[in-house]
Amino acid sequence: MASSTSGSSSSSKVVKIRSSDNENFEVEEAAAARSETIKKLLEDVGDDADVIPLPNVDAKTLVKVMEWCKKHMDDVDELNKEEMKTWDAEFVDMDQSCLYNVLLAANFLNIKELLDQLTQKVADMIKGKSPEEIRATFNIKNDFTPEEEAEIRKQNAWAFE
Amino acid sequence: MSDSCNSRHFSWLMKSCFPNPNDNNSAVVPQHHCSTTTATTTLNSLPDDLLLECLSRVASSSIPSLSLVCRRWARLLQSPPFFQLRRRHGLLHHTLFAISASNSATDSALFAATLQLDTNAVWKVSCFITDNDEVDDAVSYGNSFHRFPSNARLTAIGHRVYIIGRNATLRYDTWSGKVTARSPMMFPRKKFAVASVSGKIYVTGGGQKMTAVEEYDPEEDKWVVATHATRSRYGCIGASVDGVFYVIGGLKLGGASRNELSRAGVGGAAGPEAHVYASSMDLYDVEAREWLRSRAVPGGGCVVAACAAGGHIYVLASHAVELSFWRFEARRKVAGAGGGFGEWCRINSPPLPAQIRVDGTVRFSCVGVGEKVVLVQVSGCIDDLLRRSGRFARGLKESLVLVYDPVGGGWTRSANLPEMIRRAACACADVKGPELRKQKTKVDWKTRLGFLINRRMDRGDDQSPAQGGTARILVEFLEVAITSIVFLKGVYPTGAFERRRYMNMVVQRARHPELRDYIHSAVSGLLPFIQKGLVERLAVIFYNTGNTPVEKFMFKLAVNQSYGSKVEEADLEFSLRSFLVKLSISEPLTRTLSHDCRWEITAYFRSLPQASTSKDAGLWIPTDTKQWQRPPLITPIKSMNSEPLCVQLYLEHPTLNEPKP
Repeated sequence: MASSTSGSSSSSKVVKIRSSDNENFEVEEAAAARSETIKKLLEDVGDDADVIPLPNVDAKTLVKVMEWCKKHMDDVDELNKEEMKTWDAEFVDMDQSCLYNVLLAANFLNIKELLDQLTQKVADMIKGKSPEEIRATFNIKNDFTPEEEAEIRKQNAWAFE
Repeated sequence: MSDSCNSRHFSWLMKSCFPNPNDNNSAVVPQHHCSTTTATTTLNSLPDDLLLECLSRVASSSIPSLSLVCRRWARLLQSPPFFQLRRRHGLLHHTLFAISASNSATDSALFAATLQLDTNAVWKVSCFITDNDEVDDAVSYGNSFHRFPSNARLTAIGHRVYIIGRNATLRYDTWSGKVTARSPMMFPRKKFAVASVSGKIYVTGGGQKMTAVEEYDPEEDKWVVATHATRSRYGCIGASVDGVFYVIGGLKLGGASRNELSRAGVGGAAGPEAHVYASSMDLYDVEAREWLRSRAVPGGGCVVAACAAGGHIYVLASHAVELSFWRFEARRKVAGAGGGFGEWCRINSPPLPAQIRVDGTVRFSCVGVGEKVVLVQVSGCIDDLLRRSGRFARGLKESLVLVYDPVGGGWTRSANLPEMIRRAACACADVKGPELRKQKTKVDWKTRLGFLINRRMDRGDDQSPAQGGTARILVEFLEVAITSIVFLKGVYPTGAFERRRYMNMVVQRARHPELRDYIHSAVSGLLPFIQKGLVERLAVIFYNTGNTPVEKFMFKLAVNQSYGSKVEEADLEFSLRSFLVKLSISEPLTRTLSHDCRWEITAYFRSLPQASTSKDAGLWIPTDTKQWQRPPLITPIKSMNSEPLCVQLYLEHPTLNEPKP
């Protein structure tokens, strides 16, 4: 996934990014370029880029995202794939609020692989739960009238047997 | 992300990744940049597209739960992007449905055959039968089959197929397998056009003064008249692309005589006005609620089949005995080159025998499956010689299925439509990918299981040997069939059974572990004997209180082992399936049982098995079941005679002058 602009020499190159709460980070360019958004920006502004502001991502979230980017900076073939899988599984195992923030950030920064992992994680959390359990887990209010709910249940009768 | 931005400023970075402010359900007020923390982010505060990404990845088995969580989720689950995403994730497949109703007095049933082009292209047949415990939604469900015209039209919205007949509408949910009666159309139409446009169904034509365009809202289950067409077409075809409802071909009824139908069909000397109908299409913009300029098929052929696929309208036209195939660019906002909206282009004709007269007897149905077009020969035979000699009536039907792939521009032949699907209506729907459903073993009722155990209860290891494909399929089938019989006879409460799919049919399966085990081990214990060809008959016998048999369901078996595993499993399943269909509707043939009846499974051997080395054999013990003294009355139910396997199923009842015990 290494971009055309970042050759072997650029791996040591560092880019500065700033979070929404005005914290500055220095990240290896190869890692930051996992984000299509940042990569595009770097191509556009060239070398005279100062600090890239990321007004939608707070520091806590940015640390998480960059942690993932660093890990996924190198080609996966070189690493033990199993090890990477375990790492990814542990990485997405975070509290919900954090998970959604990282998800939003991954969407904004356009990191497809991370987005896939996170959405899959959410999907797995939903899987196998009853509607009531889903509402409890994700703090969702039931806005159906009892009649509507009964109607849907009736339509799904088979699946509920 | 915008990719044509060269600005050195980062203002475009503000592109929303925040909750959609228009969404009332989101708990978080949209925040502006430089916000400090978003500690309260919840799943429902994600914007629709991200929430959809998550929901679209949930395993198919959990989808029914999702629609009950809240309104927003229920809405998203029915939205087109949900289906697109699931298809992309490989959780959904375009599936071609061919549905036909069998109208004979005894076999009132609805058959559905499905074909997935991306797999190894085998038709799977399933069947819905009106049975008593399906009465839930409407009694009309049962009645509707009888009123159900064989030329119903089909359209699909996502995973739901709507079967729209003259006086009845059925909704078939392909995920749950459930068929529900829905409101019928306001006007009784015949041979009308139907298509689904952005979640709603539109119909028009199909009668002399049927200019009304009806709109069906699946949420409300209501039909309303949306507009009126300038032409009332009979025998027209519906399709939709890009928010436009196309009403294609058909005839003008009224002014012309009925003979117009066949004459126009062959492009003969029909009146000029009738010809205009047959070779043109009307376009209705659903959102703008206005009619666009009508278009004519180039060359002036009569439309015999049409469909929408991949942003195009495909039309198969007939000029006398020659067929031509056309593509109409139906995307209204085509970017760049490649022809604008409304351009016709002639493409390769389907590889059919050179001369066919497409009229009342030979009919084709065209269905868009993803980007591809599938042409299904739904009735009649192509061979002109046979037809001229008047023998077509005997049903030598080719049932051709041809697939056009726009990528290569070529036609390929797919598996023929199964014989039992006659005069089918076709549509394409989204069916969930294969997924193994884990069985829940939930037993919440107790009942007396007063059956005579005709085998030892110490159940051994009854793993079936892998060899002997035919015998194995037969044993599996017997297990299902026996369960069906016990269900049919109402020995146990309905709650003792659960619905399962077998051979793509809905069957009953015992829920109670003891009952299930009894049937399973009894039948699978027979496997070694069936393989050796020792079992002649298998009987399910019902006894009254006095231990006298009152009814026997007999399976007479003959397995030719020399075929071994060469047997086409699909062929065999196809034959066996008809037993289950027949069995499920044979209740009237049987007798009512007394309240405290018992039942058992008994096998009749051709010769007594030798002292067997098999562990399974030990499960079966000789029995001295009472026999009737006079030859019984026999009612045949079903028989099959295919090479490797002959099975006969019949009922035995004692004769009237059987001495009372």
